[in-house]
Amino acid sequence: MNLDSQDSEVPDVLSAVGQVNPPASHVLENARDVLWSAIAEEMLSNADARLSRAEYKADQPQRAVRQRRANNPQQAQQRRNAGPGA
Amino acid sequence: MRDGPLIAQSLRGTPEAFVEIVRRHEVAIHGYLTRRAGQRAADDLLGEVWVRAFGARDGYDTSHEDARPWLYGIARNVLRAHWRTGQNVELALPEEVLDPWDEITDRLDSAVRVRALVSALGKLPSTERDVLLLVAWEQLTPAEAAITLSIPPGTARSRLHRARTTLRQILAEPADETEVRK
Repeated sequence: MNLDSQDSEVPDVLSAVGQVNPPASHVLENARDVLWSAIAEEMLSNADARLSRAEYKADQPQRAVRQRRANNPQQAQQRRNAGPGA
Repeated sequence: MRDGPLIAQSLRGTPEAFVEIVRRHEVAIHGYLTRRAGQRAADDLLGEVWVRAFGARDGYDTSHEDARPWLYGIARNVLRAHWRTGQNVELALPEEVLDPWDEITDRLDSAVRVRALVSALGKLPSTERDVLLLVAWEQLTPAEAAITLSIPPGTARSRLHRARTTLRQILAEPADETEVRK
C-alpha cells in the first residue's frame, strides 16, 4: 500500500475506516432542543434588556424636566423660598 | 444564505437563525464526534457542541462562508473536555494519553489492510493525524483544517505532508516489522 495519488487504494481504505452510521433523527432533535434552550435564554435576556431600555426612554422627558429645573438657579431659589410642600 | 451572514443575523437580534446553521452541519459534526469517540458519546456530546458554538458565535469570522471548520474546532474542544473528564479530572494528562485511538481501532473492521492502516495512523503524532483525518474524513482543505486547529495554513500543509510521508513509510515496512501480525 502507498499513498501516491495515482493509487486510490489507501484513500479508499482511509475513507472506509472513517465510515460511520448516520445519526438517528431523535438524536439530532434532542441536540437541537438543547440549543433551543440556550436560544430561549438569550431571547428572554434580550427582551429584558429591551424592556429596560424602553422604560428608560419613557422616563426621559420627565427626567429632562427635573434636570432643567435643578440646573435653573432662579427656579431652584423660588422652590427654596416657597418652602417645603410647595 | 451562506453561513457567515446567517451567523451575523443570529447576532443581530435573531438568535434563532443559528438553528439553520445546526441543520446544515449536524450530520457532519455528529460523524466527526462518532469517528473519534464512538456513537454513544457523539449522541451525548452533540447538544453541547451546539450550545458552545451558539455562545461563541460572536467570535466567528463572518467572512468565512462555511462554518464547518469552525464547528469542528468547537467539537474538538468538547471532545477534549470529554476525554479529560473520562480520565482522572485532577490530573493534567498529556494529550497523547487522552487520545482514544485504541477505542477507534477496536471499532473498526478487522480486515488486515484496514488494520494495517489504522495501526499506521495510530503511530502518527496526534498533531499530524489531526490534519490528515480532517482532510481525509471530513473533506476539509488544509486551509480549513488550519481554522479548525487554530494553526497557520502553512503549518497545516506541512503537517499534512509529514503525515502522508510517515504513513507511506510505515505502510512500506515489511509486515513482520509492523503490527499487522495480530
